[in-house]
Amino acid sequence: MISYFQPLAFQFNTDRQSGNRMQNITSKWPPPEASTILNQIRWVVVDVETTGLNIRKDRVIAIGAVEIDQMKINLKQSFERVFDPGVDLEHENVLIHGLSPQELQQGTTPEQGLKDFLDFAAGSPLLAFHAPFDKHMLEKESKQWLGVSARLPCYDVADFCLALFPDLSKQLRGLDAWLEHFGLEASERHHATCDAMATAELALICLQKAYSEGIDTWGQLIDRISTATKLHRSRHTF
Amino acid sequence: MIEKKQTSGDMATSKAEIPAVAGDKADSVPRNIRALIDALRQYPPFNQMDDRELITLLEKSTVEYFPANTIILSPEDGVPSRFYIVKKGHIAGERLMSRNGDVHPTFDIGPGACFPIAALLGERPTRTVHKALEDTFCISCDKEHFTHIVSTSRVFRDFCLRGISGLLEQVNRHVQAQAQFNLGDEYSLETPLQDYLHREVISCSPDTSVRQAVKIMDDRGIGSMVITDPMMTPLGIFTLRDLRHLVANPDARLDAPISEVMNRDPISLPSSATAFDAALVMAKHHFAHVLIADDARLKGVVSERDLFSLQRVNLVHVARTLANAPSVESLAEMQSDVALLIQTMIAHGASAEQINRIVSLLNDYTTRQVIRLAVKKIKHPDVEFAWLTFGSAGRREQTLLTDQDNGIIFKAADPEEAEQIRAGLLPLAQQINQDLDRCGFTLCQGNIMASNPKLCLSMDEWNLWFNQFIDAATPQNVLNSCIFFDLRTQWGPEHLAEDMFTNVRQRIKQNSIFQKMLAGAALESRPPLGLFKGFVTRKENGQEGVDLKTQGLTPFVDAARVLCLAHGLKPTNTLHRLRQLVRANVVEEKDADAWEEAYSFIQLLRLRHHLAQKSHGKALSNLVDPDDLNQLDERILKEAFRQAQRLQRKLAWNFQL
Repeated sequence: MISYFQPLAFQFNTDRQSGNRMQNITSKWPPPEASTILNQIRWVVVDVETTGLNIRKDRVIAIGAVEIDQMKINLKQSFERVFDPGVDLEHENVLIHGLSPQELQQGTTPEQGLKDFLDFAAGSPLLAFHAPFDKHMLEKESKQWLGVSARLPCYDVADFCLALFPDLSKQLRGLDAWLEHFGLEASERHHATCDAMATAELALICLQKAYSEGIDTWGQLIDRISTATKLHRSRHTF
Repeated sequence: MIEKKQTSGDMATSKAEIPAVAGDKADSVPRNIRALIDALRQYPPFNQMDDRELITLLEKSTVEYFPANTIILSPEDGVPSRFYIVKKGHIAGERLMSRNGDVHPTFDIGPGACFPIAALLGERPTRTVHKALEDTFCISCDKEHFTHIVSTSRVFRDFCLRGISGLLEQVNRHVQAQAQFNLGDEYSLETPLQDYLHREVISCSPDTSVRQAVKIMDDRGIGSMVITDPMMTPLGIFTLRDLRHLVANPDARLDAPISEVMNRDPISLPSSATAFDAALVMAKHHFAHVLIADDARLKGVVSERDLFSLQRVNLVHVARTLANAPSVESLAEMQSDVALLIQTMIAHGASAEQINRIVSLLNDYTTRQVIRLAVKKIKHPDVEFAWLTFGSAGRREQTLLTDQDNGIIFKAADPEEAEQIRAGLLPLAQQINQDLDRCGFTLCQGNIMASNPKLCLSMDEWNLWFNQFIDAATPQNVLNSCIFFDLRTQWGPEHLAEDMFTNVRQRIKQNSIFQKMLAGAALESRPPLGLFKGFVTRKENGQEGVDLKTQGLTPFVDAARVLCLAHGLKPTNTLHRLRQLVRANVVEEKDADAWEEAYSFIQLLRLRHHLAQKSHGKALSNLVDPDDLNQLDERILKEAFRQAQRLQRKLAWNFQL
């Protein structure tokens, strides 16, 4: 499945043996400077669909991503790849990720798909809901297929929510609950690109809330998040 | 799937190749975009746009978030730079009223709604503050992309130009924005009278004494009193002007019931009528007050002052002054007020058609007063005669650039008497032509004027003239004489011309050869479009451009005339003619609508052009350089010319030319 919206990254990605370049990208993929103004950050909001929830065994079968640039979701930069895993999958998961074996067979190779994604993301900080999972899967697959040890700067929108809507986060658990609360609906839940889009909308709400509370820089937001998560953890631990 | 075999390198191909895979395109769109398309499809105009158009729209769009109470757009921002579609949430429009500083809510729009179309098209700041009522997501794109979609998607263009409030109004706003510079009044001529009903309705019964009624007027500080029956049906009106007359009369009894002195059967308009309607009624009848009544029940009164509180000159005042002008000099002086008034009217939202009507109305007042004054001054035979006007004045389609096309019709028993009367009337006609010239209606270069003995004719002579013309017409003289078929009585008894022309109309209806010749003549002025895309410009007086009148309006005017004459239809106004042709099943309604719109657009463009020339102190001309038009006007003008071509094709087909 190939995007009609050709990500700009495509334009540069004509040589197919860019393993070295990949190495460069991933090693030079620092988190944003603390002093960066929030509304000037280009974020890539990502969602991965996998064959299951076992982070060791399961595989990435789709990546969807959208770009937030200057506080707007830029539709031209919509990224969507389905991977052909090359092996038969257990069928029950079709029910969750909604991808049929035919769709998977028509997908790109994981190698190409990951390479396209890393080119698309091009050094921008990543956002995802329950990011540790997406981060882990992306890093694991990059290692396996591209041979690169990526350390992706991937931040959790769930943490954003916790930090900026502390009261709400006492009741709301999980992406669905947050989406429902804000009246957002993922058009097709568990479709990578649609989930990425919904997550991006949630991220915009958070970023605007931060802005309205006088949080201007990434450093300020990180501080707020770490305070909130510490508090949250302490509450849940004791 | 085709794409499967392609490498990503191959994917970086140019967009030009996309049509080749059009069949698969819908599938290759990312699912989030697909979802947005499906969501948009619930609303017009997106439900009528195809995938390709919607993809193009979204391709360069973004999704933005506005927390509740964010001001998204406001008049102070200047010309807006982005176009928005509400994806989720609600947006309120608020307008600050200059008169009292109140904030008026003007609209509340939800998902699927688009804004600010009028401001983007008019290239002017929005008049309304757009504020997110709740947390709102919008799909947005920049102005250039919006313009691109307007120009490439017919459905979207129609929606923007017509679907919301009509092409004319959109373009109008552009004109207004230029003219409204110093006006600041929020009311426009399109304001429904409903909006003037903010005061308590004050009325009294017919048996109330004059003194009592005047006391109520004084207490309430109102200039008029409406007399009604118990069911609130208006019976009459009594104004301060009437009081003045009453007091001046030594026999007046202030204790008499008001029903004895009121003006009976006052004119009323429904509350759905517009300020423009009220102004026209006032101008026509020289009233300062018009009643607002729905289903014969009084709702309120609107006064000249309500309509024109901030204006130095207004339609009612100008019309009254013209109609009572003591001399040609004063009429001539008034003409600058007329020009100012037109400018004000445009600023208040008048359309080309309204302007045409106002200009015609005021020109009629001027002409009639010129004639009345001349008739008093110049000795002439005591016969029944009427002043005729031809061409654009006959069609009531005048603009600021007007010359004289007139004639006289009178009653005579035989040719000898006709000759005598003519000799007696010509000096009067001469005087009137001269006086009209002094009032700014320049003398006709083709000598189509009443002072020309060939155009000062008895009923029989006119009839004969038309009949000979119809029987012996050549293509060339038909071309030059079309305007005589657009005749109207401007002063004097109307039945003279009406009786005479009824015969002529009948004769044309039966003469298919003449009709064919008229149609041939109507095809002479071709819309200035080239075989390919551009305009075909011509040179006039060292300037290059397209002639909005002869190349733009004339094809519509001529075609509507021929079709009406061929079917024996009476109206002379081009828009009336088109409507009448629909009623007579000669043309289809949607065609007529398109032609009407195209014609009105060209007329408005011409008017705007004239106003600009006038304000720069240039001579008025109909020549417009397409390069001077903004992109949108240029495109609409092309479309309008294309409509003229369509109308001409229909004409050619109908008359087998």
